[in-house]
Amino acid sequence: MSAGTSSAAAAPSRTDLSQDAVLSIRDLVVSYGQVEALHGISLDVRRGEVVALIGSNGAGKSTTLRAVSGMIRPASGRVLFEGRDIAGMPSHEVVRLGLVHVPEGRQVFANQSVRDNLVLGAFPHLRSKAETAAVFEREFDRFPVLRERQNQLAGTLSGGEQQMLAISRGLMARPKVLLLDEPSMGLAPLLVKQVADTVKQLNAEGVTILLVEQMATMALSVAHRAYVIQNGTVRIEGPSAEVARNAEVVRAYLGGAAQHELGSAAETR
Amino acid sequence: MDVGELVASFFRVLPQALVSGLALGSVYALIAQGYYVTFTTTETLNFAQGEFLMVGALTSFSLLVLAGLPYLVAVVAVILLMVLMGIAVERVAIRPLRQLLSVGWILSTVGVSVILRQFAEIYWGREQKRVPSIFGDTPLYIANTGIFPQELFIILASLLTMAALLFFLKRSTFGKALQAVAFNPAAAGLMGINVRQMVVVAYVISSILAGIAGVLIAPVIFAHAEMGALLGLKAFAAAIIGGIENPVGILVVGIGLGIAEFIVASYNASFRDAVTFLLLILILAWRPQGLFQRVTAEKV
Ligand SMILES: Nc1ncnc2c1ncn2[C@@H]1O[C@H](COP(=O)(O)OP(=O)(O)OP(=O)(O)O)[C@@H](O)[C@H]1O
Ligand SMILES: [Mg+2]
Repeated sequence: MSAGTSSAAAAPSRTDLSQDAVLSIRDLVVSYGQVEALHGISLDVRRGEVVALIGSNGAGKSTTLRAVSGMIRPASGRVLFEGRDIAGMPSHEVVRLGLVHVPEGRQVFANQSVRDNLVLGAFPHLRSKAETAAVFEREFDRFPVLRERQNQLAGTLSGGEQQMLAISRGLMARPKVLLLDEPSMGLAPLLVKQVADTVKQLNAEGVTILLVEQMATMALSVAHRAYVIQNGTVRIEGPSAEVARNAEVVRAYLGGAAQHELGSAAETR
Repeated sequence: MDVGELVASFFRVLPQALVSGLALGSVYALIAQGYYVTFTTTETLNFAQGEFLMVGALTSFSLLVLAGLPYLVAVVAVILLMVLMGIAVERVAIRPLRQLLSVGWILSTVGVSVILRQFAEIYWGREQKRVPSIFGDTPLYIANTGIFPQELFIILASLLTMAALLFFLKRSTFGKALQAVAFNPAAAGLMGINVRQMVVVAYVISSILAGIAGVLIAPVIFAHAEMGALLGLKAFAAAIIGGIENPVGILVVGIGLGIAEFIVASYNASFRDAVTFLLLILILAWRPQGLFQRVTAEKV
């Protein structure tokens, strides 16, 4: 299914969504010690979609991704990936299914070379030499700066370069669904635009994306649909254009000025 | 004794100390690389490493002397035993205590060392066992300096083992994964690396190194239940001073320690350990962060 058709379809009902969803989260509850961070989140991501997950500081966006990818064990709820409940599955097994999480803050292996970081990204899939060379070429073409710096330690890269490396490293694992946690964090506006373009391009290549952002403007401009979470619960959901026009969202996450521009950006998507 | 005499005597004992110290020191380094491997991956280490060496040495006695098995068979058997012991010590003494921000693993691995010592006394007895070298006991003389073939073998075998280890850690995908676990276990998990398994592997590697060290050193010192404690401790000193995350520093300091020890011993054998540890304490007082660590800590 192409990205265009899915967003052009009339707003489907909840049951329709979960039926063709590649990733369905149902009533997800996650606690850190005694503190409950997610109070029952449900959301769906359909094959071929870009879905934005927005919300302010501490809303529970990263926690949602961590629970999906197995970095933390949910207290209850279901995480259905291609119809199979993977809640509580350890992260090293989840990634093998093609559900790949590019974590908040890049978390590249700073003491290893750029190239070795990519090698580690490919760890779940042992490939032939030729195949490996081909994926390296693909990633180096995507982000030429990584080719230039392949022998440098990852820790010596700039923030933007580290983000590119983190994304490339995730792509080495052959994602069907990519969970991106704040890829634009700390980047200059020009780089934020580049991240947005990368997300669109990946989606065009057939990767389904769940994009977490505090930068609602960027996220809504690339996503087909969006969920707004607040204090560990979903507050608003819908097609990006609708969410971008929602008064509450405009007030809390966008600021009046950005509204018009954004509304039209989401419309064209 | 005047200064001239002292200098002259120093140069007289130096060649022999260099040769014997190199052999003993490379064993320290071999043991200490085990501390390095587990510490970088888990920030824990096995304080029973010396006793693992002892079990390796005494097992080689049983297999070579009592059972009369060929050398290679004995070595392989010791390595297999160490694989099992490495898995066991991780499971019992490390894993349950690692999650808590604790130093409980120090107590538990020291506990393992006590248990192994007592077990060895019961099983092998208190007396020292002689494990003959497969290369015989006739020293070779090079420029008036005697060296046992076994000592040469120790130096070669431990250097080769360490080179293989470092090559494996730095070059293989598996070694890179181990480094990734050391750097950021959560992110390593996202790469599809089974972190828990890697920790076990680190302990297995560490134990194998101790076992090999035990088989190597048994013919030049007697094998007995108490042999591991001091060796493990000196190897620990080499790791701390060389930098526990710096395998090359560990090698240099391990060998230096072996040589220093033999120089001291050639003046007064009964001061050997006391003077060696005094030296170590002084070095630590001078450079608390170890010899090769860049000084990054704030000055107080
Ligand atoms: N490791 C942790 N231990 C305890 N509490 C945590 C931990 N990580 C997050 N929390 C808490 O869980 C809640 C949700 O945090 P989360 O990191 O998921 O928010 P977020 O939406 O990703 O925020 P941000 O935009 O700042 O990244 C917050 O109240 C946070 O304080
Ligand atoms: Mg977050």
